[in-house]
Amino acid sequence: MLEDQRLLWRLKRGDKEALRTIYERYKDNMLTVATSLLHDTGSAEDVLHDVFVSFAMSVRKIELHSSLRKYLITSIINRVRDRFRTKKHHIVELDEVGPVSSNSESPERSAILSEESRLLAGALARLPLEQRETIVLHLKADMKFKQIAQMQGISISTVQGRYRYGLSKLRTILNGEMKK
Amino acid sequence: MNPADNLERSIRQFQVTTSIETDRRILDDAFAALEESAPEESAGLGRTVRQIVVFPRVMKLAAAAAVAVVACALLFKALSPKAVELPQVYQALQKAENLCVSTYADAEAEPIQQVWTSRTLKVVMYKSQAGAQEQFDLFDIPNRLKKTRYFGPRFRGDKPAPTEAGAVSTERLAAEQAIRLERSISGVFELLPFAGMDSAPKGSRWSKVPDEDMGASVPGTQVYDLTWAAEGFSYKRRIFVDAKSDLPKRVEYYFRQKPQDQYKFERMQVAEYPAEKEIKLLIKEIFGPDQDRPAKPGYIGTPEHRPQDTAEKE
Repeated sequence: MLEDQRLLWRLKRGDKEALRTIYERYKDNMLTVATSLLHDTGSAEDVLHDVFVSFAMSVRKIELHSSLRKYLITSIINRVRDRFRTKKHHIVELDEVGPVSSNSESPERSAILSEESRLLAGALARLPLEQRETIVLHLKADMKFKQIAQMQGISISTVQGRYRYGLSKLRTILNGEMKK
Repeated sequence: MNPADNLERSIRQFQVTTSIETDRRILDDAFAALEESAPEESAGLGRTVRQIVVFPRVMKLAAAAAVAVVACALLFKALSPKAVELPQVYQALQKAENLCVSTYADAEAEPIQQVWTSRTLKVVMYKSQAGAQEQFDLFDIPNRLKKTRYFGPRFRGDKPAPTEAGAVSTERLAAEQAIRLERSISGVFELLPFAGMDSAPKGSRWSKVPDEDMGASVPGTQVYDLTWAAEGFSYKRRIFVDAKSDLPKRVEYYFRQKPQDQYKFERMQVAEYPAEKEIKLLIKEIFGPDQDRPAKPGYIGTPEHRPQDTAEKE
């Protein structure tokens, strides 16, 4: 966090190298979180783009109260929620789920997913958004249940329930996929 | 491999990587956004007729403003906090009645250990991780007791809930252990390695870090670096000293092996100074009210958490 504060301080003075360092440090984590939630690497890259450009635009006004990583991950989550809210992205239905969006298969597209990751991403996409978000925030963004509860405005026991039910459902889906 | 076999690990390992093309696109746009957000520079430097005409009047105003700025600077210097010396920090720390020190191995993570010390109550409480559980150890010096309580994952929450009791065990403190603890709480813990520069190794330095180098630092503090060499290593402690109380609020630990190396961050400690009643309340929240706590060696709590040795003694 100290290093982040220093980078932010340099960035506020217009240092492009600081911006590049922050991007290099957090881009994969941000993209993974977005991809896990959206199940479409093209849309996830758009979210990463929007969040990072908006971060660069408003960095002089930002006062960091937690870690920079948490700030950026929270921005990703908010942007993903906006997409669902404004119907730019539709919640994936059971029948629609296949491998991660075909966009990612084009040579121009960036994401590189292993077969196991594809399976996992597909299974994650079948979960309700609330359960998916809880699992991703806890396991991919290393957020504690307490922090997730604060972020989502719900009780910790609800978060723990969503996490537990989500994992159980995920396990069932994956076991079913392997039997096919 | 079926990812369902170890689901949590598989999700943690799930990683999507951007391509060079994507990186270039995002960074180009982000750089442009950064430039766009930059504060506007003053307009062109060419002097217009109007500027030439009003110049002498502007000069007079500028001179008056310069005098005001110098006067303000002198006043600010007189009012700004004086430099703090190491013995002042040491003495302030010795006088602090209650203290909570949180140790961080990585500045982004949760503390790896927290220690609450009350010199007035003569108690020390440690919170540490024990596998998936949180372990609280309370050393009660006047009663010569040590109490331990665990909070497993199912007890985790906003704060430990005594109604969902985990294991509590109580054991007697040996006399020498109590003496050692009492001696340790009268010191300055490990926050400061020396009482003053007289007791520091030769060549040690205590120097103020310029404010402009600190960026977003801890508000209300002055920052000092204490550097010294011992046993082939160079050490640095960056100490954030409260400008009013002279108490350290944060201490960062660094070291390096060779003089030409960069200092490496080792750990950080954040010091807070709670009131006695806050520590009492915390102990009550974790170990329950006084009357519910065993005053002699014993065990309360759920049977599955009962430590083996306590079960055997009863």
